[in-house]
Amino acid sequence: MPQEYKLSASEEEYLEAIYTRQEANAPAATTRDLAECLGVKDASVTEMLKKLSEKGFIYYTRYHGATLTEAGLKVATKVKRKHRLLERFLVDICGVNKRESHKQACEMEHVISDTAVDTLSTQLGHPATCPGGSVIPEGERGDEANISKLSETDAGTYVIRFLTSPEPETISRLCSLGLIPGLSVKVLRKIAHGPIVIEMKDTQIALGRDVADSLLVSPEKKAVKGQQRRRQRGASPAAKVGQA
Amino acid sequence: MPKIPSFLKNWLTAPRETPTEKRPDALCPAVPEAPSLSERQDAIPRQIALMGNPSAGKSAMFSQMTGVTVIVSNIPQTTVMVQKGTSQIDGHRLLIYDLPGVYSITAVTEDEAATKEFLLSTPLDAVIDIVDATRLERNLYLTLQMLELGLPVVVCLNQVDLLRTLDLDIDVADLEKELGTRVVPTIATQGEGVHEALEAAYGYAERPPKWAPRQVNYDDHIERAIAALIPLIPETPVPKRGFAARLLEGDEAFEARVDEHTLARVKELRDEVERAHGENVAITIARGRYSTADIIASAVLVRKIHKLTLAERFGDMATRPRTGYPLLVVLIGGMLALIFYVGGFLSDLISSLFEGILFPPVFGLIDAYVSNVFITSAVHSTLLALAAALAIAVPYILVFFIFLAILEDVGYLPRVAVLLDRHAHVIGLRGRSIIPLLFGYGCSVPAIMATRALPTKKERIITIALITMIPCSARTAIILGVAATYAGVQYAIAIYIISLVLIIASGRLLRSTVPGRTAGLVLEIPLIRRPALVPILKKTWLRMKEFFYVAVPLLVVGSIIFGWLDVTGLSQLIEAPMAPITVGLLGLPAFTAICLIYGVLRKEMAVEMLAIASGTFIFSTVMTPVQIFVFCLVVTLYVPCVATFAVITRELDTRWAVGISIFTIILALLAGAIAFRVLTYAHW
Repeated sequence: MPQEYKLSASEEEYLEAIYTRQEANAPAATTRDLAECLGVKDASVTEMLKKLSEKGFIYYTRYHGATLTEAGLKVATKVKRKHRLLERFLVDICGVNKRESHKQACEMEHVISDTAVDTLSTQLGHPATCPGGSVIPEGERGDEANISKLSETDAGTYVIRFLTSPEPETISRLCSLGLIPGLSVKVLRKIAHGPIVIEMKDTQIALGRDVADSLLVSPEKKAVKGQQRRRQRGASPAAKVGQA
Repeated sequence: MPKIPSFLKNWLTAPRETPTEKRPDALCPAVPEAPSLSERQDAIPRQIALMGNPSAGKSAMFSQMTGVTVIVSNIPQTTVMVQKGTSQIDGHRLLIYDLPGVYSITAVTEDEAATKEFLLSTPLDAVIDIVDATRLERNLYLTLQMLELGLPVVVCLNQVDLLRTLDLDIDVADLEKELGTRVVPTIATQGEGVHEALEAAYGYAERPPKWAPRQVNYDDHIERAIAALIPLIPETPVPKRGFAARLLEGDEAFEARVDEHTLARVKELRDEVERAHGENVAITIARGRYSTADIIASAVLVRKIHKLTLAERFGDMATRPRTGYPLLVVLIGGMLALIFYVGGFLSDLISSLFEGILFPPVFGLIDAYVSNVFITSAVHSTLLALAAALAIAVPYILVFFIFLAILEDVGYLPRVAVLLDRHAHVIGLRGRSIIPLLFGYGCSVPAIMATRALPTKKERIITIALITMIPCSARTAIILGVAATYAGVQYAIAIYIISLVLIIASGRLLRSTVPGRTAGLVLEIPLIRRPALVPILKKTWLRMKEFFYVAVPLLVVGSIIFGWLDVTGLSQLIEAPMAPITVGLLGLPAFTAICLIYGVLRKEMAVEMLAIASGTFIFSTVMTPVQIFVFCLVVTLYVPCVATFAVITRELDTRWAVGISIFTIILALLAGAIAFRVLTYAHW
């Protein structure tokens, strides 16, 4: 259902703002955060969050704040991708300054079509980051864009993209075990209606269904033989540091 | 300013010393001036801490080093408190601390907070880092954190024997160079390398590592932020680089150490990095450590083509439902059969020894020469008590504990937790609770203590309440030694089934009544290990020891008192008021009243006292099968024993302990009364 629904520009703005908070690994986006970030009143934020939650785009609990659902994440990723690619375009091609590029991209992102933005990405040579240095999410055409819940995957190797959960503790528990975005994990076994057994860094870990729901993953690109099995772009844990 | 944790107060208020050329003894200058090491050798014993990931082998190492036997299990997170022991090396005394297993030195879990608190408040001469060789990369994360804090680290590369079975190989000399620490290959369970590790730790000050400690390579943004912060950082035992990284991460303990100007700068830099990376700076830093660990691991680790070993296949079997359930049934059935037959055989042997060889001459002698009834009664009671303890309790409990120790060491229990996770949901729990519940079949007390590793209060409360209803080994001794032997195997099986049904029903009830919530399962699965004889016997002895030192004396005293009550006729005063319950409600003989009271002290005493009260081990001569069954059922379910009550009070509070006791008494009386009536009518 949520996929069918056409979101308004301001709804998309909200999802984008929550995405940004979650990207910064905040446990959840609070009403105050969003009000500040979007320059609106607390009350209107609350109202909008309720609406988005009813439509199934976010998990929202009072006092805790909001986190994106899978459907919400899909929308937000798409909008963020448009935003950051447009920023690149405005800065690199049009020579607009950074601050101005952000403002304009904010407007344009809601009207530009998916196809147009994919073409733009190709024209720009598929940049990995926006002018501010943030990662540009990859488009749906690429084989990596099919983000799904870990609980819904088949056996195979996946890269963790996002941690999303109605419970903030779950996220911090996963982080302390080293299950952070960018890590690749191998799904060894799924027990019917039971936990999922994964392997990461030579360790087997069992995750309950509900926990596995909170890990959003995408299939790992087939590594060239002999190469390290981690990804070369963007969210890769070691790529950046390894060269440092 | 953030609130300063109390344990840091000393550290914070102490004068900030300039660093000396040698590494200061700890992060905490609470000991104002540390004497030079050669002087203090005799004055203060050197202090060494053991650290490492859960189930890396710290507890095994600790018991090898100190001789203090701690319970070692192949289950993540079994050390829940800081254990302390002493050891000797070349005639010098050493103090050794066993810290809880942690994945990192942050403060996410209670254990991690406790570990950090300890590290910051104790002057340590060396920290032995137990690294699980089979999980090198993940374990090095903690090692790097320790090096960042400037701790004097000696690495024990533990379980090196398992590397071969996994077709892995680690170049120890390279690892030493990569980490800049001493690396000692060890097999803690067999004591291999333990002496070398202790030596390296003891001589850390005299023979520091040849290389500088490995630094974490952070990404450019973090490196720039660290460089900007270093001039602002006060002189402390913690290296400035590590200090700066901790500040960026937002570690409160370190934020409390700097002035507001620095804090403002930290915040500025943190925002800058976060803007550049679009993620929380703590994640970026963690990623830096993980990738450094990855670089080190790939430099020293040689992987060969790996075929699944038999042990790994077994491990897989245990978590795969199609094979896992039959395996579980076979193991539990096999265990009960083993306890029944082996325990029964030993029990027969011992009781015939007492009754046939020891009793007749001793009783004859006493009765012939001593006329004081109190003395003859005391001698009779003591001998009967010893016989009862050795013949009824020990054989069954011993066999059970050996079996449990094997299952624990092999690493089977966490796999059961994975297998049964979905069923645990029915009673409001998650798979994690299965392990304490299974421990409950051994003894309720350690089982209740093991619930500390559970993530939420609600899960702890439900698990603890259910543990008290699980037939522990003492109750198993009663069920198998009395019900199965003197009433019939079908009665024993009925008791197990009834208790299981009541546990599930109670779980369902508690799930909807206990407030709070449950957290999803996140459980590390250890490798399957071959059980080693010595640790298993040690562990079994440790568990049995308590029985000999506490239970047997208690039983002897209890039975002497009982004998005197009987001689003086005072026992009537206890039996009479309880008769409406024992005789009326449950249809039991009146003398069982006192047995039930003793059963509160220790469960197995209920039967031992039954033997004393009835004057025979052959219970079928004094009670009908139905009476034996009802008695055993009630003893299994009613009120937790004193030790269990005490541990519930400590772990939860008195309210819960009383509540659980009342609940189980009601349950036991109801079950007993119903069983008595149903069986009596069915009989007619």
